[in-house]
Amino acid sequence: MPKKARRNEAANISPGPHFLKPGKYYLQGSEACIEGALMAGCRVYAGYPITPAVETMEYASRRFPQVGGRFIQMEDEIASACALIGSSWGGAKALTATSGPGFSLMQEAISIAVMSETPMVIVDIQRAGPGQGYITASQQDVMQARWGHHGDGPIIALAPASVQEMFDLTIEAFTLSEQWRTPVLVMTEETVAHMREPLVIPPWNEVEVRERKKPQDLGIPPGDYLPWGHNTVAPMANWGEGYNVNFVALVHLEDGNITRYSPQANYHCVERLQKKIEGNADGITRIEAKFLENCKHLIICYGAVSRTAMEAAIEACEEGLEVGYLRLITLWPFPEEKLRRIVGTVDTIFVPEMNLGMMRHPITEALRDQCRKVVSIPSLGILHSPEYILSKVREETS
Amino acid sequence: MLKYLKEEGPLGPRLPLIFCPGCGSGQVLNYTLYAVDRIIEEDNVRKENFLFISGIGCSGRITSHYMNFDSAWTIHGRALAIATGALLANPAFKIIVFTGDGDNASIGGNHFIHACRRNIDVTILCLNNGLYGMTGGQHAPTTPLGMITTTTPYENREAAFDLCKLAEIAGATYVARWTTAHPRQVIKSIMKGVRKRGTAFIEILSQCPVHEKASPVAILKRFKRDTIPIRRAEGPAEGKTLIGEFCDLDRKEWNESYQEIIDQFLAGSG
Amino acid sequence: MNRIKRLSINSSLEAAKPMNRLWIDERYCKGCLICVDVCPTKALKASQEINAKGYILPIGNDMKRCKACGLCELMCPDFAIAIEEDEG
Repeated sequence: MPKKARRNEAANISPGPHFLKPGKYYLQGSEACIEGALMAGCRVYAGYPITPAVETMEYASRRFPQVGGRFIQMEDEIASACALIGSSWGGAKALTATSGPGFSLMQEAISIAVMSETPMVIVDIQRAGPGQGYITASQQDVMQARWGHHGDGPIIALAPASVQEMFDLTIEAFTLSEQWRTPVLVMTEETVAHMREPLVIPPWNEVEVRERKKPQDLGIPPGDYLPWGHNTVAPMANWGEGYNVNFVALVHLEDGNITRYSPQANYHCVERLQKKIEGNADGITRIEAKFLENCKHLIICYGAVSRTAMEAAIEACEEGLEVGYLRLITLWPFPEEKLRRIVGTVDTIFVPEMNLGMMRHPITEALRDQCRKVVSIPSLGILHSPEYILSKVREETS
Repeated sequence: MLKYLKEEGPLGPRLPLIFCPGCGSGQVLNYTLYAVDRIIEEDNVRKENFLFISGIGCSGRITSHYMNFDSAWTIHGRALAIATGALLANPAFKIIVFTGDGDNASIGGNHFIHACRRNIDVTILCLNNGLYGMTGGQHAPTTPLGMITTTTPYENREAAFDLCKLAEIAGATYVARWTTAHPRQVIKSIMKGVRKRGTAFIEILSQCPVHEKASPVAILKRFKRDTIPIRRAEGPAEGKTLIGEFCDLDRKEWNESYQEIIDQFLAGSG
Repeated sequence: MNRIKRLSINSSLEAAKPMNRLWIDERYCKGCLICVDVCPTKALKASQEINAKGYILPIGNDMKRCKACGLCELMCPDFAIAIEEDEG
């Protein structure tokens, strides 16, 4: 009998000899992502090669077996995403990394993961689109992250902006996916995935590793278990634990029954998903804000662009332009309430993006009444320089 | 075998089965449970280790919410990818995949050949009725030449796959073809497949009385009449379909092989 | 819960002789009549009535002939038939 894949150990003891010891390292974003996943207890990687996500995959192929995990190169992205679902229900945390074209292929699997409330993490290392586009960075998939999978049903998407965040936010992605029983997307750009920066690996017992709640933990025996019931986030019994769980992605009742359909059952089933995530957006989402006090204008950014946007905000303040800086760490659920609370009344909101204007839409929806104007600053094919953002700010404010 | 089904759930009854009267899917479910029952008894395998995965179609409904086992009703053609994932998480699962000819050889074709190539530890039961039943009788990659279906109103002009040949070439280590009119052979093959460490592909010709517009009894009689076991076929099969076991090999299974890689590192860690 | 409903077996004249009993679950049987066809001893036959669901259910033709071979249970697609062997 083959050995079982090693399950995650408690965070406060050393995960094992092949883990990076706490300290400072110089790694690529892709590598930091994998190290974060391993630290979070991920032991399955199923992927398909696509530029610029290849480094992530190759690094995973070396590291996963070293820590008792399993790596497989599947036949296409659809198979990769489906393998994640099977692994998750089989009891393991699972990860894949892809780019735009592969992300499009994974949407059906993401949709059933949303409906069946399957924890898993998908990293989208965005490249230019549409179509085959190009292999350099973009932020063109951020809307697809929320609306790409067919049907209703929200999702969680994070936007790392540095190598350190590739490590930290991948761990957070697993934490959120296990806590909320949902697929979580890490929307990064080719820039962040390929750059090399110092990475600080914290002491192991400071890394928060979350496991899914199981009915066994809550004292619910198999006979009384409702696979999609009990709580806002249903406890999840995995296959092989004697709970006779039937995985379904059709509209279902709380016990998994799929033939007693009614419009009410349909509404209840889907609305539950919506409330679970969107209803808890405040607790799930994170933003980073600077220079907000008495600022006249505001730059709202995310991902790689926030690096140069920060520089632009600093220089603008030095020029006396009173520009605040706000970074979305969580893209979805969109932190609408949080933004409305934190942002006072401003004159102009600038949204620099490596696309033709995507997150500017929910930003406008949220802050329409608190500003005079929202200005999109697009840049395709090249990261905004601080001078470029600043020139647009000066143009608008003069 | 009712003990292996969920007749009632907390929120209502789940039976009768959704299948049309005389559908082969119900029969394949029954044969599978007979086989699984014997394996649990004879091989001392725990019921918890079994995992049934299906795709979309009439065959997909077998696991929809009836099984009193761990099971999954997944997306069209992707059951084998999900099975691969489950085995990555826990190589000890005994996985049986219910699929159809369209689910497996059309949309699922890629996953089918790669699962066989990798020789992952699954038993694939392909219920072949030569068309897409659930959606109304469209033609499939296994529809015979000349047949009239809802999407071949002017006769089907495409050749049909021989699924067993496909499985064999792709690398499956146990390949067999039977029909729903051969229950004991089906049960034996399923047991062999589950016991085999590797990909077992069992094609089961299955009746669709509604779309073939014939009584189930008539189709079962046709299955017996128009098939010939390999052992008895000498020379060309005279227009009959060959049934029997096409291959039964031994080849290292995917997880078995990958475990050797993991063990290198576990050994080093002391 | 009275789960299985028993259908007619045979005339009362023959009821005294030992024979296997036929159980049909009316909730699940869909009247495909595969059991009637596969029975090697022709112990079953189709009834003359259409039930409330529109199905023609199988009933005993001559249950003395039933050898409890299990073929009908094996080939039923709906888990709707069972043979209870006579202990005598």
